[in-house]
Amino acid sequence: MPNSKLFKYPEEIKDKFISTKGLKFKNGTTVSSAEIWEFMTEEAPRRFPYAFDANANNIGRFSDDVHFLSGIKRAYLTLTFKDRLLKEHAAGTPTVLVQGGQAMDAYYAAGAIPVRPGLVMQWAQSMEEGLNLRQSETRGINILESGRRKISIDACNQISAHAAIDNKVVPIDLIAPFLCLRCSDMAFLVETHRNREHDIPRYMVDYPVDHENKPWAAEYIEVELKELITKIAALSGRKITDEVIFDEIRLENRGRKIANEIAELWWNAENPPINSTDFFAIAFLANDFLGDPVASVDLLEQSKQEIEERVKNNVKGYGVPDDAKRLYICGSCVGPNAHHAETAGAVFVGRDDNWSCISVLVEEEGNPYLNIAKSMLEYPYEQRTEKRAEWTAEQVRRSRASGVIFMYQWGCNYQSGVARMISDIIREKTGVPTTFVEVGELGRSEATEQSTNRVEAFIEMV
Amino acid sequence: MSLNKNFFAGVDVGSLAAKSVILQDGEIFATGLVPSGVNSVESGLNALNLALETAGLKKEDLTYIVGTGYGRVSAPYANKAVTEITCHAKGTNYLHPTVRTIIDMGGQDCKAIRIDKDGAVIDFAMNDKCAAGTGRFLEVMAGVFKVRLEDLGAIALAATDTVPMSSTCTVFAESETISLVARGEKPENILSGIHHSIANRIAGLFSRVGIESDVFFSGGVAKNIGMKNAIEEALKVTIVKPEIDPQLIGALGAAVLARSFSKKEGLWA
Repeated sequence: MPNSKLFKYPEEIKDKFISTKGLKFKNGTTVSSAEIWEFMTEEAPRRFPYAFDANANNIGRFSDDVHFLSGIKRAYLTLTFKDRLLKEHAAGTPTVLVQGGQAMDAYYAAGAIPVRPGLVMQWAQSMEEGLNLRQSETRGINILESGRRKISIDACNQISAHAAIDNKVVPIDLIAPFLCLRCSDMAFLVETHRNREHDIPRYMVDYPVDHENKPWAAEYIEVELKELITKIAALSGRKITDEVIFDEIRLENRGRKIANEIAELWWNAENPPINSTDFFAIAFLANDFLGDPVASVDLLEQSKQEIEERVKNNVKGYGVPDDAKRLYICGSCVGPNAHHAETAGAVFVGRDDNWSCISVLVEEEGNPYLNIAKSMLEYPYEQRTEKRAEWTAEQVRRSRASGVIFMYQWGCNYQSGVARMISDIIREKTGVPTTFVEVGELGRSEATEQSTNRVEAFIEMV
Repeated sequence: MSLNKNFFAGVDVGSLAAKSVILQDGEIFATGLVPSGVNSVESGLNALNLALETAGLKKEDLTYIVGTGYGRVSAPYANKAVTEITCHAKGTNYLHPTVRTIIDMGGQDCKAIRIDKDGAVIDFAMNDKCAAGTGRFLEVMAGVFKVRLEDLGAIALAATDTVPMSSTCTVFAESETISLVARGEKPENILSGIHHSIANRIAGLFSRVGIESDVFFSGGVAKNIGMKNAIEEALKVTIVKPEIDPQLIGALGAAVLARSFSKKEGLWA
C-alpha cells in the first residue's frame, strides 16, 4: 500500500554530505550542500510526500543508496524543478515544449528552457503540494483524462502533458517540438495544438524522417533551426550569435562526454558501482538537463568522481543484487521499475532512447546550426528500424547485457510497431534473450502487475 | 518449528481459482482447488488448507512453500514467490519431461512458453489482451449463451459450420456474438468460431517463440475440449494428454521449486 512508509535520508550521512560541493546554476547562483540537505530532509518531504513514498511499486522512487551522495543532489534537482522553472519564467525566461530524445542545445542557446512532455507531466503533478502517492497519482490521472476528453480516448498517456499546457496548469510560452517519428504523442500534439484555440504560439520543427542518403537533409534542418532560434530569441530577448550557440554546444558536449565516461566506468566495473536508479538518473542528465545544463554538468562531474572512487574500491551500489542479470532497456517513455527489477535479481545497464542523443557529440567549430542539424541526423534512435536495432545490439554487447526488454506504452503506435522487429534483430545479432512488453503506466506512480509479472518472469528466464 | 524434509507445497493464486499441490518425497501427495475471492491471501490459504486437510497435515509439517500466480505478491505464508511462467515450466517438466512447448491459458492471460529438457524457460510470450484466449473471455461468452463455462467446448464440437469472429476485445466480441445470435446463427457454430479465433491468436504468440514437440496445454482453459481441438488444428500439433488436472500445473511447479529451493538453502541434504 502507498504511504505505508516514507523514505528518510539518515542523519548519520549528514556531516559527510554537507562537506561535499554544492551545485552551480546557469543564472550564476549556487546552492550549498547544507542547503540541499535541509531541502531534502525538511522542506521536500513536507511539500512532496509522494516522492518519498517507500512503496516498492513507486515507479519514481528515489535510490536507496544514500551513501552515493550525488544521487541525493540528483533528487534535489528533480524536486526543485518546479521552483526553478517558475522563478526563471517569472524573470522572463521562456519555457518551450519540445520532443523527447532530441538535442536541447538550440533551445538553451536561444535563451529558453526546453521541457519534454514527461517533465511537463511531473511538473504539473507537483503544482499541488502536500499530496501523498495516491493523491498525486489521482491528480495526474485527472489531467490525463481531461486531455483524452479533448482529443481521443485512444491517445497515449503523453496527452496529459498537452492537457497540462492547454489547461494552463504549467506555464509554457512556445510549443516547438521536432516532428520526428519516435512517438505517437507527436501526432496527438499536432492535433491538440493545431486545432484548438489558445494563445500559446507554436512552431513545429520539421524533420526529414527518411533522411538516409539525402545530402540536403542537414541543410533542411539547419534552416528549421535558424527559424526556431529566431522565434525563441524573440521571446527571450537574447541576442544570438554563433559564439553563443557554440558556448551552449560546448557545455552540453561536456555533459555528453562525462555521461559516456560514466557509462564506460559502470559497464567495465567488476561490480556495478551504483544501482539502476542512480545510473539512469545521473547518466541521463546529459539527455535531459532538467532545466539547467550548468547544474546538470556540474553534477555529472561530481558523480563521475564518486563513481570512479567506488570502482577503484570495488564498491557495489546498494540494491544491486549479487550476480545481477544485466538488462538493457529499449523503447521510449516507459521502462521497468528499477527497484522491483533489482529485487528480482537484475540491474539495468542502458537504455536506447536516452542514450541515442548522448552518444552523438556536436562539432564545436564551423556553422553551429549545421553542426546541430548533422548531429540530429546521426541519432541512432531516429534511423530506420534495422539500423536502430543494429546500433542497439552494439550497445547490448558493449554493456555486457544478458537480456533485453523492449517496453512501450499502450497507444504508442510507433514503438509498438517496431518493438518486435528490434527485439528479434538484437536477439539474432547478439544471442541475448529479448522480450517486449506493452504497458499502460506512463505517468502512473505505481507499477502494475502486468509489467512487473513479465519483467520478473523474464529475469527468472535470463 | 521442526522441519520435515518430506513435504513441500506450491500455491498458485490466479484470477479465477487458487490452487495448491503438496509433494511428498517428490510425489504428488495432495491437491486443493478453490475459487479465488477478493482477498488473495485468504484464497491462497483456502487452497493450501484444503490440500493440507486432504493430506491430513498441518501447515507446520511443510518444509517450504512457494507462492505463484498474481497472488504471489500477497502470500505471507510462502517462503518465496516465483512467477507462474517459471512454475508452469517446472510443473510440466515434472510430469512430462519430453514437453518443450507449453500453452498456458488462465483466467486473465495466455502464455506461450518454450522450455528445455530441465524445465528451464528459454523463451516466452504473453498476451493478456482480453480476447486473446483468457478464461475470463470464455466466461463472458458462456454468459451470452447462458451455458456453463465447462460446457462451452463440448457445445462447440457439435458445430456444423464455423462462424468467423474478428473482434479483438471482449466487449466487442460479446456484441458481435449477440448480433450473430440475432441473425439466427446456431450457438454451436458461433462458439466454434470463438474457439478458432482464440486459437489463431495463440498461434500468433508462437510465431515469436516457435514450437517444438511435445506440446502441452496447461491452465484452467485446458480443460475445454473445444479449445484443445482448435489449438491442435491452428498449431498443427497434438497436445500431450495431461496426467493431472491441467489447472494444477502452476501449483505443482511451485511445489517442485519449493523442494529445490529448500535443498539449496540447506534445509535438507
